[in-house]
Amino acid sequence: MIHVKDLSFTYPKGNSPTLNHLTFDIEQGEIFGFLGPSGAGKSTAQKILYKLLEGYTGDISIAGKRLEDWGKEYYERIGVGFELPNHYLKLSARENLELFASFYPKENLLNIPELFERVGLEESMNKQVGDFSKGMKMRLNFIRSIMHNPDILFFDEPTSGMDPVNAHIIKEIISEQKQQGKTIFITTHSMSTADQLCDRVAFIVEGTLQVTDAPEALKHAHGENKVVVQLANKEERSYSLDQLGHNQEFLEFIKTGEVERINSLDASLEEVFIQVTGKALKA
Amino acid sequence: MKQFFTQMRWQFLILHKNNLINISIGITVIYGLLFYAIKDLGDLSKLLTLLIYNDPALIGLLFIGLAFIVEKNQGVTSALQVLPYNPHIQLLARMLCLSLIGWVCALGMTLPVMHFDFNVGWFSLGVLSVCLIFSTMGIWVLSYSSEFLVFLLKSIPILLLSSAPFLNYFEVTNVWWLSLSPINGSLNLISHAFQPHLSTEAIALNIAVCIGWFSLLYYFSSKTFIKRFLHAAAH
Repeated sequence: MIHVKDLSFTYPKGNSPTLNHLTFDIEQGEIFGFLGPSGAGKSTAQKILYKLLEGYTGDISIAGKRLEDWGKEYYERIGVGFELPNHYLKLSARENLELFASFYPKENLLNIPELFERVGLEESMNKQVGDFSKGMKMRLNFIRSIMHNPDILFFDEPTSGMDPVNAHIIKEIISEQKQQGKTIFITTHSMSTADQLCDRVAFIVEGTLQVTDAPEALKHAHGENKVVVQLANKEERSYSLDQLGHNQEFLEFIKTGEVERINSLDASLEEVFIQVTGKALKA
Repeated sequence: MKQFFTQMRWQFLILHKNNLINISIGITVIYGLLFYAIKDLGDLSKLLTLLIYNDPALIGLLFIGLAFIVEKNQGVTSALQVLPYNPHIQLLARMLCLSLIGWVCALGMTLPVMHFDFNVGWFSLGVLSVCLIFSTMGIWVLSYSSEFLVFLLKSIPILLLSSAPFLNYFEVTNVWWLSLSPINGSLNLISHAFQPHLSTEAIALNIAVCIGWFSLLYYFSSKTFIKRFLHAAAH
């Protein structure tokens, strides 16, 4: 659905390129995540894909058509969830959504009160957005990006500023969008968001892609092939996963006391990121 | 066309919620009271022309800038650009809304003093074109302004320069080239509405001058505005 080859970009007043020869593909129905620290070029890459930035080099094709050949009809096919809230603060939440909805064909629009209800804003939809908290504004950002039922969704830090309950609801809706066959491109520096949502992630640092793979595969590849067994008396031993069921030492050990937990030694996505890039995610 | 009228409805709501309509009415009331206080001092048609010109000029020039700067500060400018929208529709809808507000305000300050002793048609054309022409200047100035204070400072010389034809109008000077000013056609129409002095051909010429200046200024200002203001705000 989205094919990017050799994408480079330098801001007009920039000294060095913000993006360096990025190449990646996103298949239809896939959730793809750019994971990287602030300033890595994640948002810049997205802005190029939704045509807010021009002057890039490389080839981009979306839904079988070169990006530069798409006209304004492109925006009927995509939805953009911005990193920061951007609404008319003096209008109510409902007026904001209806104003933006007025640009789309009516037949594509989802039911606006239902969208508010879905993200827990039904009682605030007639209130002025200026009185909203950041989390509420972000939820409004989110439903605005999906209200016209687009095929491709771009989310920049989609759960930023939200409490865990609302972040969970947003992640649930994103997963539902995937089930409906939508192609979703997320940028985030939240390891847990990427881990829970993405089919594949790409690590981006200083405008360069370091590695692209499924989170599970990355965690497995960079973890140890072992389990750690902890007994109730806090005694702890680790065993190789190879032939674990036939490992007599392991089998004896778990009989010596009550097993409190058995954990695999897969790396976390953040640990993988640090191993691969040498950078911390929230740098 | 439907999209244009839909956007006009939203523009009115945005202007209203940002109190710009109330401020316009407030300014009009001040002008109206001022004029009412001096209405018995003799023939005031020239002074009225100046005041009538001034109100829509300020509304067109300053309020268009204010509306876009508020929108930019709220981050809405970038959100609008990922919509299937035509920036010219939004721009023209906003300009026309402000011009209609300017027209209502100008009528509001004229009627109590002049009742219907003036030609509402020429008056309306003159007022609307003043507002539209100044709003094109407003978006041009806005293209080179990062914030409202800078916009305000840059607008003052534009307002003063554009008002230069009043020097001829008040017979302070008699310089032919001042009649080339973008607002000269509008000024003649407003003045003619109070004291008929133009032939039919001259009226037609003044209308053509208003349309011509508006089209020319809109063409160049909107190009600059889209490139420098809208695109820059999206970054």
